Amino acid sequence: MRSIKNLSAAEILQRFSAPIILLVLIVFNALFTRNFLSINVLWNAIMQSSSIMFVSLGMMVVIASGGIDISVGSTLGFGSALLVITSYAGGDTNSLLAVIVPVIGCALVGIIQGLIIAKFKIPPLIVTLAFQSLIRGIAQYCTKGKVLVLRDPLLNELGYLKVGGTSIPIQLVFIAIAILIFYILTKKMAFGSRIEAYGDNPVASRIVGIRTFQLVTLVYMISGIACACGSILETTRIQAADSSMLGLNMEMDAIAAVAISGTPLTGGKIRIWGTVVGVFITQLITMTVNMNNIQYEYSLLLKGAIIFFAILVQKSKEKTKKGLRQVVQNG
Amino acid sequence: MASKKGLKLKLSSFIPFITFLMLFMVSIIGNSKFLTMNNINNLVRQSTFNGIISIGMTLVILSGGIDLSVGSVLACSGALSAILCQYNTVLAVVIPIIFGLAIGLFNGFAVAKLKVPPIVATLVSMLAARGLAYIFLAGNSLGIPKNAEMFLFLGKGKLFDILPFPTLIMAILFILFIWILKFTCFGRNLYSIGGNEEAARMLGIQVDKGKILAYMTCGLLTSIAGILITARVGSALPYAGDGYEISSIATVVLGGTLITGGKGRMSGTFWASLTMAIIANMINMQSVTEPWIQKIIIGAILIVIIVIQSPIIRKRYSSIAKLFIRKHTVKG
Repeated sequence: MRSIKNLSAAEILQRFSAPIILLVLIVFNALFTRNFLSINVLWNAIMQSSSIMFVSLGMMVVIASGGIDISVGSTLGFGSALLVITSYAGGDTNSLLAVIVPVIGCALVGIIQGLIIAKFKIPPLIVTLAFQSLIRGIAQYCTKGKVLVLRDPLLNELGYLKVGGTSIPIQLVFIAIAILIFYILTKKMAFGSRIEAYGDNPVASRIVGIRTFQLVTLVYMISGIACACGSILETTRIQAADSSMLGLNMEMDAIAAVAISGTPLTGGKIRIWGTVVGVFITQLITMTVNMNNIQYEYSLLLKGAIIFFAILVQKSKEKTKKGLRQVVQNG
Repeated sequence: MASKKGLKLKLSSFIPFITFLMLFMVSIIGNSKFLTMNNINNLVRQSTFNGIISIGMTLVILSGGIDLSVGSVLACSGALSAILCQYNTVLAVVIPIIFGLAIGLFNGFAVAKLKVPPIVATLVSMLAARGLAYIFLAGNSLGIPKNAEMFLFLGKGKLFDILPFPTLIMAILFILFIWILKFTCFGRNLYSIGGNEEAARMLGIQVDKGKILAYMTCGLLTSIAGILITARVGSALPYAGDGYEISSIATVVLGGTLITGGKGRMSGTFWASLTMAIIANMINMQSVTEPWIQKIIIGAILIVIIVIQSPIIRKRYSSIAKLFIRKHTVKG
């Protein structure tokens, strides 16, 4: 790999397109949005992006394996419903249980999806689509369609806990932990390269000796657990569980974040830092819209335009690479 | 032996029809009111709009893509037609159709020429078109004035007092597109493009043109559905068609079309759209009011049908390939 010094300006623009877009968004906001340049805005951004960070990192693993998970939003709502119901069930000692139950529940959801996908070789899009409806229904059944308020002293506090007397929200720690776990999982363990191999060529990876059945199941389980973590963060922040609204259309945000990172949606690549940047970009778009009082309809247009632009820049990168390869092959 | 294999093949290509028939039987046995004229009318009406969209979705999925923007385009074209029908019925039909074609052109161009993954390209147009729908309607619902009789006829009119106009259009479109997929260059090319894009390109098939046309047709059909649904309901809503992309994708897959493209049948999509309507009808007839029960039942039925169908359909395609190879090796 060449060092950054030898790259031309265009190549730098393409390789670092996601951070550059993030930077442009920040500069734009600093210039045109009132009150943007305060530390509270940053902490707010961190708090709000914590759950989507978990979900997007899970989605990144699924997409790298050549699949896709449409059910993440519903799973998030399901986890949230489980958390509040468990916290209702008993006395004070239930806080730990209330955190564990959603993780187990969502992991089970992921395992079932993974088993169906791996066993029957059905396209993941369809299976997770069916589960999106199914899990949303079960989540609503759990709460009987109502919004349940979180009444657990420990968990209520968790959402607004600060780190050691400073104004740093606890969510920053969780984000760091999430990135660390996924970094170790995908970059430091064989698991990561197995996923990339499977995403690139499922048949070849099976012939090579990778246990693809287990791998696929595990991938969707990870996505489920990530959703559970996201639901815990989201529920403790909102202090309530709205099983019918929570996580609605979140799969689109997560897919957009992964796509902005330059991860090919056909699988085979894991870009962890790109995904992190992608999450912050989608979050910043939402914040820009909210802080400038832009109407909902224009925010949709803006979001679409930014995602499209980000993808286009990355596509031109792939094109130049392909062109180079052809030149090498021909000449 | 060849004839036995052939019979098996023929049988297995009827899977979507058999699924429909079985659910139909279950409904007849389980519900005494199922076979009333009123209910059958309802059933057909429920399948109409999803059916029309699913035709376009079948083309896009056959070409190896996917279109998430259908729900938003439906809302948008409905909004446009509701605004324009106060002035002129022809405009209220033509402008939304042009809009649908334009969105389809954008999707197709982004996918074919700019090489954006279909799911992202159509996600972008899904967001944008939804925003436009809110802008067109200023966030409110817009009723259709009673004096726009011509326009209302599109949705509520009946031919010979029995056949609803939208259903007629759906039937015509299905017949037309079954023919297009079987007997035109455009249709046959879609199969090759979805099956193996590189090979299709090397054979001289205009891959980009085929893809763009597929997305444009999907936009066209979706906007037709949007016009019809607006005329049928009598008002346009900015959040109309939410979730239609999901149900039409599910319909196409139930119809036996491979989600990865290249293999499938339009007749399967037709039976699957009726199957989807029967599932919804079964739930309605049991007077289940809780939304979660509906969601659970729809999700569970989908999973069961897909799991049962998948090995049969896979086997069918692999045995078609085997038959093909045997035929040609024997002759050669």
